[in-house]
Amino acid sequence: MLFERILGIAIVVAAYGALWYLVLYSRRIVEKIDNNHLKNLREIKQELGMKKEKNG
Amino acid sequence: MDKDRKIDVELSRELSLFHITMMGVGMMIGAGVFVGTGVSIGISGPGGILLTFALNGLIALFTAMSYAELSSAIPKAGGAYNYVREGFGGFPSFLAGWMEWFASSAAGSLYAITFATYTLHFISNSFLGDSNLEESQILVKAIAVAAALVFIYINYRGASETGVTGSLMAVGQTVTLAVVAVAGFVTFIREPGQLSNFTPFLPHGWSKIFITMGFTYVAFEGYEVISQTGDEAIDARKNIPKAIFYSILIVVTTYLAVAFATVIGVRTEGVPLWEWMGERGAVGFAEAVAQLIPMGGILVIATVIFSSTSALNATTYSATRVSFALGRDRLLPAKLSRISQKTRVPHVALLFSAILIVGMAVALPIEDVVSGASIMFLLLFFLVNMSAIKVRRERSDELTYGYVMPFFPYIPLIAIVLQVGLAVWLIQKSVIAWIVAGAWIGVGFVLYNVYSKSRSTEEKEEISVLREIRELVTKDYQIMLPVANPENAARLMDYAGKIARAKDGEILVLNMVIVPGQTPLSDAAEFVDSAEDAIITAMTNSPEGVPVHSTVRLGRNTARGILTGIREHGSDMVILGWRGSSRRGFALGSTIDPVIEKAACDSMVIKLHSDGEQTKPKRILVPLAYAPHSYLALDIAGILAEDPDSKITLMHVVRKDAERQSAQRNMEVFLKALGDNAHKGSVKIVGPGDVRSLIVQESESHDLLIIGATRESGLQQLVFGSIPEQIARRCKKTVIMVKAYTGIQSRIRRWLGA
Repeated sequence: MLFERILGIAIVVAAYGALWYLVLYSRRIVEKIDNNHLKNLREIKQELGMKKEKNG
Repeated sequence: MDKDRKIDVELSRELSLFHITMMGVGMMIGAGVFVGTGVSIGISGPGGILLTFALNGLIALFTAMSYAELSSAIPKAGGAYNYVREGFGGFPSFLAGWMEWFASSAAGSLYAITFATYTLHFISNSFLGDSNLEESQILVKAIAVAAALVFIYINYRGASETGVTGSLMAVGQTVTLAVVAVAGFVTFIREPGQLSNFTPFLPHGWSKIFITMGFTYVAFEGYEVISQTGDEAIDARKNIPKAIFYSILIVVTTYLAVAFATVIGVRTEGVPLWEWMGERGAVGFAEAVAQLIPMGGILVIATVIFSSTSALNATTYSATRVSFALGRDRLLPAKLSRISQKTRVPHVALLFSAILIVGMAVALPIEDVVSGASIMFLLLFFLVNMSAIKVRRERSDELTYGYVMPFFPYIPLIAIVLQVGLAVWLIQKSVIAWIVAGAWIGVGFVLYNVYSKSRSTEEKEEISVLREIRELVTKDYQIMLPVANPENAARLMDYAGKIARAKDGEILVLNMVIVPGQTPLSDAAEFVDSAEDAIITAMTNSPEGVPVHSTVRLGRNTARGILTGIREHGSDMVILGWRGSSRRGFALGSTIDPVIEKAACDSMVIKLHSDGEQTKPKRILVPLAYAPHSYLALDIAGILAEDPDSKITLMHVVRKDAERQSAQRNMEVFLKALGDNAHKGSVKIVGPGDVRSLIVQESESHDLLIIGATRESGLQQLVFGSIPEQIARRCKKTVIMVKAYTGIQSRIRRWLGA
């Protein structure tokens, strides 16, 4: 029972933390694209340091 | 009119980041969370509700990231249906629209039933000694149908809650839930023993969490409504992705805090919490809050009633818009895309959406309706995630992105797997919902192959992004001239022309065409014709040598459309006509008041004399009272006194005879401000006496009265001040009221009455 509770709370905290991380990261991407007037996907990826993906 | 003077059409982007964020929040904090919290605690227990909301929030964010990317690259109205159409076309796009229609209608039914349940619960508790009227299915259904019909009629009339009003409602709902959350934390600090309510943490094990996740997923789908604002949001490419993220963050934080508060605040007197909640079902949340805060039950019931009506309204026109789009693209009979000439609403699409909403409200129990809506949204989001991957891989070179999701393609892939899993898992909660959903998809498959496939319109070769506003400015000084009435357009143009010529500026003639929310702005071009009369009249009377442009703005609200137009075009002055009377509750009118109060430029309101006026006024009266707007009044007087024989009377009313000398000196300073026209000016000091009466009396011997706004507290319902407005009402001659733009500091000072 205790393990179940600890695991449950850990999942809630991790999910909520991941939510914040992704939102803040995404906001940074939006701001960077806007501030640097980036348009082309290749340009954006280069600027954001995203990995090049196959066929992407 | 010159042949090269064309009328531009532009969409009025009136919704800010705040508005669209709160629209999304309002859509999510609807009935889903109020009904879902109690039912979910009953199924998966107190720990299960926290896990449900946290995990659903994360999964919703994964799909939201796909929405954000697609909406930033394809910022046009239409949401999921459009994205799948761009990504796949053919059957998947039909299926997306078909499922979205069902999902929105099911959500509408859910909100109608929630409204009915909570209204009956309120009546029972307040007036009938807890007689549990809400348990009578016949009563619930009857009230749900009545509520749905009322909102369908409201939608038919074209009146619906706008984005701005909706966002205010959403703030109210969020604040209510925040109060519940704070009360929960206070209880936790005062009575830590209440934490025992979390035992057992997961009474039915981990697997039940998947059921409640699927069941409450409908409470996380607000980003769909945000993505629908592609043609109405200001700076859509940047603001839509941001609004999507912020709304999810606000909602998940609120849900988690409220779930914690609900669990900790209940006193079940020995009964396990999940059992206590399970017995109360849809109203369990309200009963829990009633124990948490004084009058909490009433507070929640009122919030649920308001939020469910607001959400019912929004889903009704969401369903209407998507069925309209299916008709427009010939995936369903073209009759669905007919727009009423009278109300400008797609009335046939509304009728069929109404049948779906009412049909589901009557035929299905609330939990099956919730499950049905959730299943459809989950499957719809599956298609959107697939489209995000396909569009990025195949069409990214054609698109301009405002947001690009990180960890691609893993995030949409995880979302796809989890959403399909949740949708399938929901069969444990509601077999009926799956039968209905399966039947709907089956009917759609048959319909597409028998009817739609051969009739659908060709998809455009390239992704059509709404046209950015064309740069109209050719001169440094621009006058915006909104015209609506052809009778006055020529006379207003005459004044605008004189000022533009004097300032070496240009004129932008604008006509606002108001389109109800049920009709996408980008599909309302057929109403542009209705604006042409006033524009053509104005342009036919264009002054020689002054550049004149014209534009028709399609929007939801006239005042907001003019204000955003001023901002987008960088206008320096706005000139409005006024008929001399106003509706109750407004100083000059529902359009003039907000435009004059908020315009970031000089403004001028002309009350035209009913018998017409002299085009070259010879005797101009300018009452002055040292206000900052007086210099603009003098400037305009100098421009309009173009006839060599014109006379300008600078008038001041003293409060007592002792002021005459100082008043004379001050008026002579103003006289010099007339510059080259100073020789036409003369000073007249009158009084003491009633300012209004003396000015009106003096105006009788003049052709034109020009008066500047006075400094009065903005707490009063005044635009130019009580003196100018009362004089303008009483004066029988043409009156021009002017107000110089003095920036934000001045406005704050004025508001404070300083």
